[in-house]
Amino acid sequence: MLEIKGLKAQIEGNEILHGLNLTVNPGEVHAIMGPNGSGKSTLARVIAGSEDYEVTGGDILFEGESILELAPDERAQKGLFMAFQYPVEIPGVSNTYFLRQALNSIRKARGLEELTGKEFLAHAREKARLVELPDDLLKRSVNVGFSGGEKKRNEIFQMAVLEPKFSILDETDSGLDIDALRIVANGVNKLRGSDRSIVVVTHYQRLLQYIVPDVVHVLVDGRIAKTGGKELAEQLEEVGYSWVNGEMKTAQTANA
Amino acid sequence: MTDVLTKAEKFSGLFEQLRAATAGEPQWLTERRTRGFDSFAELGLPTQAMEEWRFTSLKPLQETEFTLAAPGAPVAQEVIDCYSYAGLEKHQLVFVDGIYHSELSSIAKLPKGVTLMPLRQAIVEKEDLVRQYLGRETNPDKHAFTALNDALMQDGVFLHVAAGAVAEEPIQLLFLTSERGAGTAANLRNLVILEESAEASFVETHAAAGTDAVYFTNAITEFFSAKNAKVDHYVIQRESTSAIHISSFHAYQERDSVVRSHTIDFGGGLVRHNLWGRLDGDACEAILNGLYMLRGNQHVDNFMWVEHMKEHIPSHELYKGILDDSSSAVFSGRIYVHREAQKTDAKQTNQNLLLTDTAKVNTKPQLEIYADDVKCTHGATIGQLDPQAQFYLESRGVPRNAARALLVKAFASDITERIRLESVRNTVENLLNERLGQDPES
Repeated sequence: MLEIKGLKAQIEGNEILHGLNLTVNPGEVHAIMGPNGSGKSTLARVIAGSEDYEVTGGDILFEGESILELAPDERAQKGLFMAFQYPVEIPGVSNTYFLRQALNSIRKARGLEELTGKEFLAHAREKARLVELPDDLLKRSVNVGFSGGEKKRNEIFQMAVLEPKFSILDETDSGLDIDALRIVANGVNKLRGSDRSIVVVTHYQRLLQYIVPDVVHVLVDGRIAKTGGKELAEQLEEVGYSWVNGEMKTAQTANA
Repeated sequence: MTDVLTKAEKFSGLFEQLRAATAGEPQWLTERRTRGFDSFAELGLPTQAMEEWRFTSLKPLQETEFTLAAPGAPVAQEVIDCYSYAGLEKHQLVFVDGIYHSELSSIAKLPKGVTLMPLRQAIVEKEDLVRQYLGRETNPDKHAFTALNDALMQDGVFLHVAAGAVAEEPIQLLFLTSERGAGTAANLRNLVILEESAEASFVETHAAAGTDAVYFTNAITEFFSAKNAKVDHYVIQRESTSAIHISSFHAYQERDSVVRSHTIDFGGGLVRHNLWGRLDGDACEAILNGLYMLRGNQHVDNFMWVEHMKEHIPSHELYKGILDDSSSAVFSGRIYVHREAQKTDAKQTNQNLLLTDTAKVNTKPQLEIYADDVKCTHGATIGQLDPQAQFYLESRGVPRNAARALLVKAFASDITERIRLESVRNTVENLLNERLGQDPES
């Protein structure tokens, strides 16, 4: 589904990703863990096509084709989705109005009929129930006046509405209390399927008790330092990132 | 000095021409014209050395020789249909090149107490009222464009609503400049008098109808709101991008009256709106909204002066601008709170969105307060589209242009949502969409 090869990316001249490799197969759920500043958010934003970053090496293939030259909307139309770590407030733009436009752009790109306002609303209401998002938040301006938990639920709601093939959730669990975390995780779990892949970026192991990953990666200093099963997350929780850090340094020394 | 004389001479031909054509006018009006002309000769056109005109150059006006339009220029019905608003055809007054066009106009049966006619007709049929009110709020000795308008005023609308009467249907005014109107100067004069508890709403559209050449509109609207009168006023300015459009809107308000004014600019090359409010009654209210969306080299200057003269008066001014290409805008507003105007609640805001690095805004909201128990705020912002908001929308699949359009419309929505007449609001939204390269709303 998604294949990242030797990806190097920089922002304002500072290289953040130093040759990252990652392969996610259809139907898989991966978790990417790592300390602050290791490049987790950079990876998510580069996949989504943020122009703040410059890709200086490597490639990102989605269903076998490079997406590096595609604009963010074209990536979304192909079936990519990123849940923002900090969802943006957009006063004056209603949640449903913009989301209908988004969904119809995606449908149009795929040669599907656009949904009428009524059809869209029925679809949106159904998905809103998935993350227990109250109806009145649908009509309000995007994320304006939403609580932290509501903003994160809104991200998963949008994911549910747009039905992407590949999603990367950037610290969707950060700042959530346990009830909100369960709601969000439950929403994500319902979206799991054999034709969908999800990458969960997180700082905390707790989320992975609710969204159980097939593969866990540890990202340190712009590279995948370690890959394993879900038990890797538990190990990390016990010993901390310094363990991986140390191991990687040893590996680097051995290679040199 | 030579320069000033040239300016006066420039319009003197028009003045002589008009004097011959208006020979039958009442004495007081002839005197007003002469006073205006003499005053204009003395004042000359404003220059950028004057604080009130610092950021607006009148060079295009100085460089052009203007003529007076001849009556009867044809305008196709399609053009009328294009500019008029659905559902507002009942009372529709059409002026072509500044002159009332009776065949294109229609005035349905008016409610009792409502008088609606062209000003030229009112000068004959309602002379006492016109004489009593015309020029009461203006000062031709101080302001050159007022002087010029006094000297050269041709026509406009006259609306009088008697005490307690309500003009239920909105009144639509179309000021069109035809192909023959190229190079002409039109001095429009509107007079609106609302007696106690009277109500009316009207929509003014200024547009080019078949010319993209230079022409000059100099419009004055005087507005009298007696006790408890309510009025909604809309100006939708869609002149050609070569047009010079100067307007002055004077509102005099007595106690408990409400004036809601909306000035929306899409057109014009060189545009200046002067808005003068004298709030002379306890608890009267003035809501003044403005929206300008400019591109190319368009220049729009909004100048306003609002005086709070009595107690418990709210006045709210919200002007928003969207500037593309190398367009420019000026906002200078002053709220002047007299010593007697306690409990004033005044708010003046100007917000601008620059879509390019070459667009330019000069903004200066000001307060001058002599009362001690007031709530007054003012503020101005100049910003660009939020790149994070744009990325957010695009990352969901909304194409770049559509995302940009969504954000720009959201910025404008504070103003568009205040437009109470649905067909006017739809037109403004469609014009925004058109400018943003989007299809009209389905």
